[in-house]
This record gives sequence, structure tokens and C-alpha cells, in this order.
Amino acid sequence: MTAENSVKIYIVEDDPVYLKFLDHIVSLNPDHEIKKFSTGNALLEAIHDKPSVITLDYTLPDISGEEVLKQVKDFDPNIPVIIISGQQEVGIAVQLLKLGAYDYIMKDEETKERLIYSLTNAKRNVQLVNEINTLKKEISSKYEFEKSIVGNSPAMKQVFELMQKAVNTNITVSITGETGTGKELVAKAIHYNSKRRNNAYIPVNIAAVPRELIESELFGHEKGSFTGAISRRIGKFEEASGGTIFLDEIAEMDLNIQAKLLRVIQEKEVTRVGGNQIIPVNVRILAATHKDLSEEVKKGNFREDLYYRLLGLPIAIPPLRDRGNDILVLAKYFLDMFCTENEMEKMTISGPAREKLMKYSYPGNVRELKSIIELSAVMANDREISAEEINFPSVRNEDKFTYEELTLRDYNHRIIDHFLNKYNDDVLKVADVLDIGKSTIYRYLKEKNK
Amino acid sequence: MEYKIIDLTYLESISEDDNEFKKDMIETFLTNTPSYLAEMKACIKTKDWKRIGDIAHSIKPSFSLMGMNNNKDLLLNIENSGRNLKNTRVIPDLIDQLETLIEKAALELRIELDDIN
Repeated sequence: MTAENSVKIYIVEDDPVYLKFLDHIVSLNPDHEIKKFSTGNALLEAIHDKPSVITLDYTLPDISGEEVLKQVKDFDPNIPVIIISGQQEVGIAVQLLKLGAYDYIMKDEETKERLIYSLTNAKRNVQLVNEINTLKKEISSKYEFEKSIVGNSPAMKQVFELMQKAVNTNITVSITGETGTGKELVAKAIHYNSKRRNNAYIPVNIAAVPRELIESELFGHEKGSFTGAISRRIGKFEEASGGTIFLDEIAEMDLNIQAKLLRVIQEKEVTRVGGNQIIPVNVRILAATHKDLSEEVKKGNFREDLYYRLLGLPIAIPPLRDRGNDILVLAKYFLDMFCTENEMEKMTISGPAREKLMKYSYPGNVRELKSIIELSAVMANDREISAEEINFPSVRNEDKFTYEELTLRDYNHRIIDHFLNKYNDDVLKVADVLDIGKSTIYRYLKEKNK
Repeated sequence: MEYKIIDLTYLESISEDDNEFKKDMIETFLTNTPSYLAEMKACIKTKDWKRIGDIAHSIKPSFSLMGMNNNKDLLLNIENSGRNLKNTRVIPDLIDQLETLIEKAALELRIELDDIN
């Protein structure tokens, strides 16, 4: 028997003959570490040792099995209690199961088989509960603010302050920020640091669900409510009850669904599509968009009443280009992470490469920086990433001239180069297009060729 | 061995050739049952019928383990009369019957113990 596998089983039974019998059955599994008790009080005194499973005789000389069960459940509702009783009344069994007994076994010729079966299931149950608790702890620590969101720029410090305020209450939070700034990460971090952390976190990307399905996705549907509704479906709001729902890309929601969402928020209840039953839901809402919702309201694309309902605590995540030194902090973080994940030796970023990173405008924000760093780590010829090994993939036409921070003079030169190239070095044509004197172009070319 | 009162078939099926366990169970029964009987008798004097009913309920499963199933009704009668305070005047007589039964069972169980040893 190893300590790792050992399972503490407490047996409570006042009749010495039957106690021996139960002891014999339970000890058939060598992993069981057994403690025996002949009274309820003796068990309750030892309960602090946290047994894995308790088998409890219903009729005890000092206190009733029902009372012992209640006190065990008060101490830790997760300890399975298997009642072993000579009572045949169904009413008692039902009452005890209602109070949280794991199983009810009669003292008869089938006791051995039923007890072994019940113990196996109870142990598996305990194992699953423990696993879930461990995973929950892991997730919570994964989403600790400082661990999950990297950065110490003043702009991000303000975001952290707001997030801290968001976790202490149930206030609706609206998260805005350009694509790739980490809106979902902020939402997750708020949920896993809030009081609702042990309940569900349900993300829904409104833009990713077909328009005609969004209503049933959010609120569920009854069997046969529309073609294809072959069975009842629980909606995301019901799934998130007790926890948090994250509505990403909320600006993409149709106006008629907005009206229904407003009702759900106001009444705190949902009705499944095609159903009549009103289901109360207790859900915290986090919403995000990369659009300016107030603009969408002005354009008539978003309901004003819903806008104010969802606004709650607004958290605006700054674009990466406004986060200054965070670019380098994040670059190092992603590089270390990439090396660890791919079991590579640690790498560094050269001085010129760092300068290059700082100059770029990152239209794709943190997500883009991550892919730039990962690509450069793959392309690098040694353990240090050089400036040449950093490539900016997503330079769009409109950003072509501004993706780096340059002086106006350098920008002018870059523009002239672009058009000379386009018009096969036809200086007159370029001067005409740019509405400048041809001498300006000649002067530039002269300087360039020096 | 054929017995009149006890039937160890079930106990033997549980023991799976573990004679020590079988012996232990029988010895525990022989040691504890007289003290339960004594307590019941004492309760007759104090008219604590409820306690008598509870004791009868508690020892019922160990009587089953010794295969004394033909006499199940006797313990059930004592249990019900005691717990429900019905027909309590017959309880002393029922306990006399129980004493005789236990004595007979003890004789057979001792024979079994001798066999094991």
C-alpha cells in the first residue's frame, strides 16, 4: 500500500459482530485505510482527519444516524456518506438521501456486493471532485492579473486598477479595444478573480454565430420550435447561471436580438425559443467590442437603452503602440514562452531589433507582436534575434508609410520613392501627381545619391 | 456439519476460506450477544421498552450473519413491540424465548469453533 493510493474509510457501527463483517469487506481492497467507530460522537471527534468515505450505521446508541449525517455534511459536504441500515422503511432512506447521503444500503445478503460497488463509485466521485478543485485552483492562478496580463505602462496600470474594481462587485463590464489587444483575456481574468470563479465562464462570440441561430444559442430552444430543433437545447445564458457570460463582438448583434437581450438583463430571466417556461438566471455580463458603441448608437445600429445597460464599468484596453516599453516586455515574455513550449534554449533580442520593434505601429496589437516574435525566433540564425530577422507581416496599404515612426522629411522621401517607382522614374509625372516642383524631386535624388 | 439453529453458508461465502475471519466472527458473536441479552433483561425491570426494541434492531443483522434466519420474526417482534410500545406485556416472554435460542445457537457455534481448531 502506498500513501498515494491509500483511501481513508471510516466505518461507524455499534454492533461488534457487524463491525467486524464490514471491516472484512472494506479491507478486501488493500488500498483502504480503515478506522472503526462504535458511536456517532467518536466519529465526529475524528472527522477533522478528513476521511475519503464514511459508512454509517443508521441506528447508533448515542445520536441518530441522521444527526451524524447532518454534522458530517456541515463539516464537509464533499465527503460521501454511505448509510448501512437495518431499517426497511423507504421514507427514511429518501429522507437521508435528501440530506446528502451518498447511498443507502440494507443489511441483508447483498450488503457485500452493494457496499463494494458503492465504495468504488464514491471513491471515483471523490477523485473527480478533487481533480475539479485542483483544476479550478490552477485556472484561477493562471488568470491572476499579473500572470495573465503582462505590462507595466501607465495605460495598463489604469486597466489593472479598473479590473480590480470589477472583481469586487457584479457590475456589468464593457471592454473596448482594437483587435488583438486582449479583451477576452481581461474578461477571463475578471471572472476567475471574482466571487463567481467556481461557476461557469461562458464566452460567446456574437460575430461567429450565424444570425438566424444566435437567439437559440443565447437563450436555448425547445424541441420542434423550428426546423432542425430536434431536441431541447440549453442556451448560453442558462449555462452561465451563477457564473459569467462574455459577449464578444456585441456590436455585431441584430437589433431584434438586442431587444431580447435587454429584456433578459432587465428581468433576469430567459424563455427558450418556442417555450413558455420562464427560467430565472443569475448571470454576470461582460461585453466587448472593437467598435465605438456610442457611434453605433448614433448610426442607429445599436439600441441606446441596451448601450446604457451594458456600459456598466467601461474598460478601454490601449492599443499596443500606446503602451511604450510594454512592447519590449511583451516581446521578451512571448519569446521566453515560445522557447519553453518548443523546448529551445533561451533567446535574446538584439539592440537594433528592439529599436525596430519599438518603431512599429502594430495594427494587430499584442496578437500581432506574438506572431512576429514567434516567426523571428524560428528565422533567427543564432540565439540572438537581429533586426533583419524581424518582419512585419501585416503592413496594410494605408499604413505603408506610417508603420514606422520617422521624421516628416523621411516620410516625404519615402513617398517620392514610392511614386517614382510606380511611374518608372518619370519625374515630371510624379511632380504632377504630388503637386510639387520637379526641382524638389531632383534635390531629393541628389541627396539620396550622395 | 448440519445444524438446527445456525447456518453458516453465507458467512463461509464471505470468508472465502479465511478461517481466521470466520472464527473471529463467531467468537465476537459469542462474546457480545450475552451482554446484549443481559441489558435487555435489565431493561425489563426498568420498563425501558424502547431500548429493548433498539437492541433487538441492532443485533438482528448479526443473527442473520450466523444464519439464524428461521428466528428472524422473534427479534422483529421484540423490536416492534419495544419501539412502538405495543403489547409490551409479552416482551419478557419473548426475551425468554430469545435466551433459549441464543443458548442453542451458542452450543452449535462452539461445535463449529472446535471443528475449525
